[in-house]
Amino acid sequence: MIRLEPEDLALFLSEAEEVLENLEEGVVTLERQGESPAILAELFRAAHTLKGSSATAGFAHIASVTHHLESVLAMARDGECHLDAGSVDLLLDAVDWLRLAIAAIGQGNPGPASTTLVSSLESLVSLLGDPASNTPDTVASQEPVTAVASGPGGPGVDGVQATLGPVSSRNIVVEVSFSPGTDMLAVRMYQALVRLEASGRVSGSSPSAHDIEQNRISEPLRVHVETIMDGSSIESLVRAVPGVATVQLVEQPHAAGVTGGAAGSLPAETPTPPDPLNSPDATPDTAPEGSQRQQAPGKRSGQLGQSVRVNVSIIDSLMNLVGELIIDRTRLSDLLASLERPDDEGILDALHATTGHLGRTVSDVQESIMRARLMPLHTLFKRYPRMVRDLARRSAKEIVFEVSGEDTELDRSVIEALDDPLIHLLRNCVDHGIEPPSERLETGKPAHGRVSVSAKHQESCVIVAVVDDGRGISPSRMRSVAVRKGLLSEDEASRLSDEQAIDLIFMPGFTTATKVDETSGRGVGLDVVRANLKRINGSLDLWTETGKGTRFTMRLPLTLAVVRALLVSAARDVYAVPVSAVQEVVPLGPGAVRTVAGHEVIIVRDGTHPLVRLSRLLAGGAPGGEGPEAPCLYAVVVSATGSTVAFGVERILNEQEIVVRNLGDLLKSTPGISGATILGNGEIALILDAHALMLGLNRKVS
Amino acid sequence: MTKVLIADDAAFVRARNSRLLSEAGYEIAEASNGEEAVRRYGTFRPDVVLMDITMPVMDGLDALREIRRLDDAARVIMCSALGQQAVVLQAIKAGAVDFIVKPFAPEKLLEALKRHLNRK
Repeated sequence: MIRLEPEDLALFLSEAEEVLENLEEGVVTLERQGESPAILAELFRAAHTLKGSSATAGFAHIASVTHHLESVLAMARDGECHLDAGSVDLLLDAVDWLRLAIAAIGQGNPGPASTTLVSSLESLVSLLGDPASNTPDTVASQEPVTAVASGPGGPGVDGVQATLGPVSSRNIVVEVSFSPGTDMLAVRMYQALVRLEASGRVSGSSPSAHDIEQNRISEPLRVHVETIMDGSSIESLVRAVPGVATVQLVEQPHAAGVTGGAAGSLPAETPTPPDPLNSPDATPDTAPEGSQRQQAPGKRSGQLGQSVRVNVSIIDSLMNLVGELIIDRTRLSDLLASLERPDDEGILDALHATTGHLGRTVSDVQESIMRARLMPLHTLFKRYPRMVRDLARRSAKEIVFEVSGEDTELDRSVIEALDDPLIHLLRNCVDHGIEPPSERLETGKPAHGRVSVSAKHQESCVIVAVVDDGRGISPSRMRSVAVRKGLLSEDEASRLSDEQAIDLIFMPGFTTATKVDETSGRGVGLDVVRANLKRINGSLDLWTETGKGTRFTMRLPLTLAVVRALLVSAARDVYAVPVSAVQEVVPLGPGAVRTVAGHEVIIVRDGTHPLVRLSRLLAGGAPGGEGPEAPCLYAVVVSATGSTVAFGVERILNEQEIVVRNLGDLLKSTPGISGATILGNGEIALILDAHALMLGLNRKVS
Repeated sequence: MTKVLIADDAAFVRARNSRLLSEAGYEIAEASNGEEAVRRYGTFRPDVVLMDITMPVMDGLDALREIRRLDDAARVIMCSALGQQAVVLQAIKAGAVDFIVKPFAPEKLLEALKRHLNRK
């Protein structure tokens, strides 16, 4: 067993995962788009890479499964067979198995048994018409034997190649035998032959060069050479080929003659070095791949070469450093403000210039670090075709799944946070949005439904949309379900606009999974989805039309590490409210705060918003408690979860970019606080999580 | 210091061989595909190239030919998987000095390198 360094293992594992994702993605694409040689070649290479790595790492079971996978793919690639749905299932099974096996290695477990899978793959190979153990690579070259002996271009023999002149040459037969178990015996024989050609003039051999190339070999190798070199030089020349066991030289009395019934003889003219530009050499293994690569899906392979694998922790620490720099910048400008007196003008100018420069530099560093953290959504999107395919198969629906905008880039933390919501939404689309084929046909739609996920940039956000052309969400059903679940009275439900009724889907605990419609379930956990997106300063909106379909639109920030926030103060503490959540800021004049049913509210134009005094809320007091304390001079109107709340604060400080820091364990469980930031004066400001705060409020109110 | 260029599309294989050879006192450069290997050959001027066969963009065989065109004294050792005999043969024909079969034990790699460097 090969000793593996932990970092090697980590690299192996992450690379294996990548390969598996590519495999899975490719297999699903293959099924959807038909067998494209480019994709098959790409798939073959992916399997081959994993085979090589796992064999090198000493994971024979993975190497064996990938080997069989490779065999199937090679046959498909070479047009020897056609992959039907059953074969695709088996290929996907193999990918799943490999994923388990890789995960097991990561956890130090023995991993799954491969016997069943290997025998299924083997029977697939034989079913697809593979003759014997015709593994992809051993397919013999069909190349005609033209430039058989490539001759003295071979390096390592440079010193002896100027010996062609038949001055006092003699004829000898060199007999070469090889150690048992020599890898690629034919190649070793060929190497020996090439070396002998460098020693003089080869008039023939058994087996012939042609036979060796066709892997028709027999031992020992007998070569007729006309040479001026002495025996020991020839022997050491041949012995340099690995695997050579014995070299025997027999002097021949006459010039060139082939013994041993060689099937073909070597051309006797001076061997010419191969011309790499016009070389006819083209093995089935390489040439098609090379030419198809240009049209391979995506342009990623080209870009990969220009990217560097960087440990996320390094980027994280860089990001923290930039955070420090930003603090310094802010601190410097604070100092500057306190210094501003007319007699200091020279110093002031210098300070101004310096801070200006520092500010620009820091912004640049920040931007490039943020860029480094960006990843294309492709890393996420490529997992879904397989998932949608499996879901559709399970629920007997026909679905065409489309992905677009996968080149759109987002901070990796946002991408990570996006996976669960996307899975949720796609599952919803397949399970509940898309109708069964028969129902679709009845309503005049094509039997196959369309589900798509797309992404695009919009200003400083990324919009990700999940769309289906299914039955849509019916407002009347939402109303009746809400009533049945006891969430609303009949009266309340009937007063809801259609829009509001549809919005019920985001209500905590709301689900349409009832006896009325057994397959329904749309709405399960959608409140959680929206909450998770809010947590990363994103939003989730819904458009639907009965019979036409549903569109979920997610608006996401490019990064989580830096947000624009409004700094406010209440009772001496400073809070940061992410600007994305702030609707407006309203100064509270005398009499602006009213009391309705025991709760404080403010009225802004037509809307009434419950007022929550920040100083009380975070001190643990219930909203609307008794006694005035810190004055509330402003209300910050915040919207989240479809409702709005006004936070009463004492002062509005300013709006600035803040670097989000995670809270330690101490404050982790404090509801309504999502993190902290360090201000220019070194003070700490807590970052309000408007969504969580509002959830807490709703609970208290109800 | 003797310079070795490692061309392999699997970062894992590159890292492993790179560590092994650095520890053995070689100076290492890496390439993740054939095209890169050709480019690096020109700038890094290695004494030996370890060339994987199946690689994206440009495979090892094409890269070998390209390198041999640039420098007909180039020493290229092909790294092959079992079963790639036909390609390895093409490589030898195209001027590769040797090949090793993956997976290989560290000693095998070191031996192969020594074998070809001695005859410099």
